Amino acid sequence: MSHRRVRLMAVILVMLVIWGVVLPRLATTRTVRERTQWLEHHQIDPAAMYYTELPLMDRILADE
Amino acid sequence: MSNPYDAPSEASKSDIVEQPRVSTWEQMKTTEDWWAIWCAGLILIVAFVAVWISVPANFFTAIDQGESVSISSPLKSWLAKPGKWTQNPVDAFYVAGDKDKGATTTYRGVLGAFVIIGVLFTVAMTIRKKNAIGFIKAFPVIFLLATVAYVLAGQSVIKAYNLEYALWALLVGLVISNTIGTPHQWRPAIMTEFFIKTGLVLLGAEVLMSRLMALGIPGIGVAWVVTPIVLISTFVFGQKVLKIPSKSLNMVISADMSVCGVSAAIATAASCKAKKEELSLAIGLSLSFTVVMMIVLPLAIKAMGLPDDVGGAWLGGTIDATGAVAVAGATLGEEALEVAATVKMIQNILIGVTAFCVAAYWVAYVEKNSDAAKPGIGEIWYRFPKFVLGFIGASILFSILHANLAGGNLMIEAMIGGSTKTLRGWFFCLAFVCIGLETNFKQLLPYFRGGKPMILYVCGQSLNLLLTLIMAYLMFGVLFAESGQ
Repeated sequence: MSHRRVRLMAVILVMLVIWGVVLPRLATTRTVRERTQWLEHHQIDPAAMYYTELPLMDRILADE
Repeated sequence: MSNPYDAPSEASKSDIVEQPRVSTWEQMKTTEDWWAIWCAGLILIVAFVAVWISVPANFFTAIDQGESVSISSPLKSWLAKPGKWTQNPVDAFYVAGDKDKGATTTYRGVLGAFVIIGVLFTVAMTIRKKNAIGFIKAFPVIFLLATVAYVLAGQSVIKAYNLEYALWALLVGLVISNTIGTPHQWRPAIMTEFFIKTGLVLLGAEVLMSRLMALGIPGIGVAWVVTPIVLISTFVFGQKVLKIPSKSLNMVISADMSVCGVSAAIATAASCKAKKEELSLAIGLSLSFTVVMMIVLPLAIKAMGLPDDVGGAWLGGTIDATGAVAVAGATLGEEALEVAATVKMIQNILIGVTAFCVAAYWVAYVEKNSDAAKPGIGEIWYRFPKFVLGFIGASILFSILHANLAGGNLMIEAMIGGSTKTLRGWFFCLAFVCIGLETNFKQLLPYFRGGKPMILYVCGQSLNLLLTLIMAYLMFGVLFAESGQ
């Protein structure tokens, strides 16, 4: 196997460990669970790029 | 945007002048800018008609009588992106229901987006006499990579800390291009500009001018007075003081820092034909500082004892990313959250004006030869990036429909929420995967020399923080203290 393919496999392996093991475990910690619940309660998508992606805008605009 | 393998900007400027002239009619049939308008226009028409013909029979009567009506797009179940997941990535596509809640299915919507974009672009490529067969073969791979990026971005921990899909789409592309190299067979589907421009025209329909007065004059003061001042000052500072060699990089950083992060960076980069790695760099800077500001600014507001509405307006006017603004606002309380999110929404609408002004400034002043006279109207029209007209046109048309059509607000919101927003996200995600696939880490290194982009961002953001705080205090704390909302 060429060096390039080995490098690709290594990066994929690292990503699999992070997204498959580390992040799911982090998600079970109390801090992250509380933060997730808090965001859901406020209808916030922290990754929203534009206001139409924010669920809470429907509520805010409806109140006006 | 220009190709990353282009020669320095001065050379490309002269190339633009020396290219053989093509009539506007011929451009409409062949160029990417016009085809972005045709493709996005078709999507918008179909999306709007789908909502229009599916409204219930008593819809207009109910609207006339002031009754509460709820409608949704019939296309909604056929268009989706992978959803949120925590433990199992399969949950991004399907979550089984239980007695309280039905099953959540996104895989059908993901396939729907794949088919719609694939068919639309294949037809466009065929009519433009491009390599449509090559596109059909390569597009599934590029779409698969975009799907992987969405799945990475959908993990709940990642999502909770404001790390947008653009970052992961870039990463997915970069991993491939910097390890095995991007296979030659994928090239026909790596159409960064086409994806970005089509996505931007779709975004135009979300730039609703009727939202401008949501907070009255105070909102306009914070979002529409300070923002252009900061944008122009930062650009001038970058050119005159820091002497940043690339004007387009300077402009993209200035816009994403002062307007609204990634979406403004995309629109400005396309308007001033910035290089792909310049867009990547600007987005990286913006996302990094956003995470810090999202945490630090609410603490500063509490320490300073600012009223909630002033604090909210300060957050909305300064933090780049829309989602991060909401998070920071919510940590202060409900009033701060509402003011922050609304100020950011008003600032979001500035994207259209920014894109138009940057495009006009670029063709009139930046792209002309230094020894040439100011170009005439014909020359400006010829060089003007036409997709910006589609972007502005969609914004004006849907703003008018939203404000004036009976039930227009409900229909436009159903159209955006049920279809065009999702497709716009896919176009941007595909574009960022393509940017990653076309970028080598070595190409990014020269931009970090001397740390000028970082200095520009820090200085511009400092000015933004100061001016926005003054304006927020003046508007919400002094002049309109009683009627701020």
